[in-house]
Amino acid sequence: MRLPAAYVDVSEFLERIGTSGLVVRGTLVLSVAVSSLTASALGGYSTWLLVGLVLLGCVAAVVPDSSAPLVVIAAMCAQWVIVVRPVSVTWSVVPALCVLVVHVAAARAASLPDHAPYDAVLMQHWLGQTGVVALVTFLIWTVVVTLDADPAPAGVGVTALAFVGAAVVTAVLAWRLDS
Amino acid sequence: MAEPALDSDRWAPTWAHARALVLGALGLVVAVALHRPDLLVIGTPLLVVAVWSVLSRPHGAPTVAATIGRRRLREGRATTVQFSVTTPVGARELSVSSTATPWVETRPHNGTVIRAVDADKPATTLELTVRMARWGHHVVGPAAVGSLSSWGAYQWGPTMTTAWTVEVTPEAAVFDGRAPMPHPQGLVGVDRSARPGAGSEFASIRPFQLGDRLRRIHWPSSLRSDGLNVTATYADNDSQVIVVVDASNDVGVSRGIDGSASSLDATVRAAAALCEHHVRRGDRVGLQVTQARRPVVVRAATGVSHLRRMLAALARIEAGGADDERVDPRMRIDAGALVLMCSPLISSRPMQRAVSLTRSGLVLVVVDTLPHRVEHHVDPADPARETTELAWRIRLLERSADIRSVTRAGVPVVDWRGPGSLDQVLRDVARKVRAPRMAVR
Repeated sequence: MRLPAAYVDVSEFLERIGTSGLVVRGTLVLSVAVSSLTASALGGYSTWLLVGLVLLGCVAAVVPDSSAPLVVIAAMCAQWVIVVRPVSVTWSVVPALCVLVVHVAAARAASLPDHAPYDAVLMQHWLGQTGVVALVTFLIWTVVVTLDADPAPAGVGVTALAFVGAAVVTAVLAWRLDS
Repeated sequence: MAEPALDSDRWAPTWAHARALVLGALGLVVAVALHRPDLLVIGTPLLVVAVWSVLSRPHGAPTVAATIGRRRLREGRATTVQFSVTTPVGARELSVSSTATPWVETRPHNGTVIRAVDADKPATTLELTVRMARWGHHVVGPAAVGSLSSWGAYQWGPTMTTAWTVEVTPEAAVFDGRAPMPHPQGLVGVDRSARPGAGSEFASIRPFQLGDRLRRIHWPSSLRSDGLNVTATYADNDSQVIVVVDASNDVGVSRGIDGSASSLDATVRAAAALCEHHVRRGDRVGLQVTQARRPVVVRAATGVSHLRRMLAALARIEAGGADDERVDPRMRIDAGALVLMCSPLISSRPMQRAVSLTRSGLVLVVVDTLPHRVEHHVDPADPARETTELAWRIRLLERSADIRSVTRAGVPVVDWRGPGSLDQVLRDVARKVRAPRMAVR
C-alpha cells in the first residue's frame, strides 16, 4: 500500500530539517502563540485570530528564508496595536521578547542547511547573543515603564531618541565584545 | 535575498537582516507617530539586532581549500575530506554540504557539517568522513561551502568545491587454499614440480652423481650401503593462474559491502580474493574480464604492484558488454595455466566458453558465484511480482540443467564458499592431469 503523498512530503520535510531544526521552528510557532495569547488576555479573545496567527507562524516555520516571518511579526504587532485596550506598556515586554524569539528562530532556521546536525557551540553562541538583546530590551522596557509612570513624562520623541541612543551604544558595545 | 549568493566575493544580506532593519525602523516611526511607547519596547530587539548586524558585517571573501585524504581505497574503507576555510573578521559560522552520490556514505550523516568560526586560528577546518560502500569508481562531492555573519544577517556562498573520483577496489572475500597446482611450470615458487630438481620437496634417495651438492648426501642410507647416497628433491616451481571474470550481467540488488550482494558483486569479490591469494603465494596471475562494457586483459605477472593493477581493473568493470565473437577461443592463455573462471552462470555463453577452453586442453575450474539469495528489483505492490519470481525460478532450474551438462562435459563447477572452496576440485584436477587424456587442438 502506497502512503499518501502529503504524508511522504511531511516526513521528508521533517527528516530534512532534523531534530534541531524542528526545535527551532517549534520555538517560533510557540512564541507566536504566546504573543497572541498575551494580547488576547489584555484585549478581547478571538479564537480565529489565534488560529490564524499560529497558522501564519507555521508557514513562517516551513519557509523561514522568505518574507513569511516578516509578515508574522507585523501581524503580531498589529494584533497588539489593535486589540490591546488600554495601551499597556507594562506587558509590552512579553510581545517584545516573543518578537525577538520569532526573529531569531526564523533567522536560525533559515541559516541551517538541510540535515544539519546539532552543534552545541553554535547554539550557545546564538543563545548568548539572544540573551544580550533580551537584556537590552528589558532595560529599555524598564526605562519606558519608569518614564510612563512619571506624572510629568517627557514626550515620546524624547523617549524615542533616548531609546535609539541607548540601543546604538549597546549594540556597539556588544559588537566590540563579540569581536 | 532568498536566493543564495553565487558571487564568491560578496556577502549578501539575508531575509533576516532585511526583516530586522525594516520592522525595527518601522516600529520606531510608528511608535513616535502614534505616541505608543509600548511599540518602542516591541521594536527594540529588532533594532538592536539590525544595528549589531550592520556593525559586525564581514568584509572580504573567505578562501576555501578542499583536500581528500586518499583517492584509492578498498571497499568499506573510509577517508577524510578536509575543508580549510580562511574567513574575514565578522564571519561567525561555516557550513559544508556534500552532494549525495551513490555508494558514498558520509559521516556526519547526509554530509552536512556546521561549525563556529575558530577566531584563534587563521583558518577553520571542517572534516567530512566518506566511506565507500561498494567497489567501483565513485564521485565524492562536490560540496557547497557557505558562511554566515552574526545573526545570520549576511551570507557568503554557497560556493561549490571540486569533486573527486575515488577508485574503490573490491574487498577480497576471505579465501585460502591448500591444494597443489595441477602443473606448475615457472622457475621459482612454492609449487612442487613434476620434475626432479633443486627444491625442498622430497622425491627419492639415489646414488651420488658428479655435481651433487655435499649437503645433499643422505648419511644414514650411505652408512648402510657401499656408496654415497643423496636425497633427490622435486623442483620448486611457480604456476600461472588466469582468473577469468564473466561480467555479462549483474543480477540482483546490490546493497554494498554491508548488505546483499548482486551477482557481479560476488563475482568481482571472488575474483579479487583469488587474485590476492595466488599473488601472495608467489604465482603468476593474469586477469581477463569478458563481456564487460570495456573488456580487460591483464597479462600474468607477480608482485604486489601487479595485484594492485588487477584490483584496479576489477574496479573498472561495468556489466553488460556485448560478446565479441572474434575473441580467440583459447583467449591467448598459455598452455599449462590454471584457469579459474568466476561466473554466476546465468547466461549460457560463459558455459560454452568454459567447455571450449577445457576441450582445447586447458585446466579450467568454473567458480559459481551466484549468491545463494538474490534480491530482485521488484516493487512489492507490483502485480507482476509473482510472475517475475516464477520466471526467476524457471531460469534457476534451467541453469541447474546447464551446469549438469557442463559438468558432464568435463568442466568442474564449484560453488564459491570462501576458504577451501577450490581445494577438493584442484586435487581432483591434479590427479586428472596426470592421467592420459585426449585433447582437441
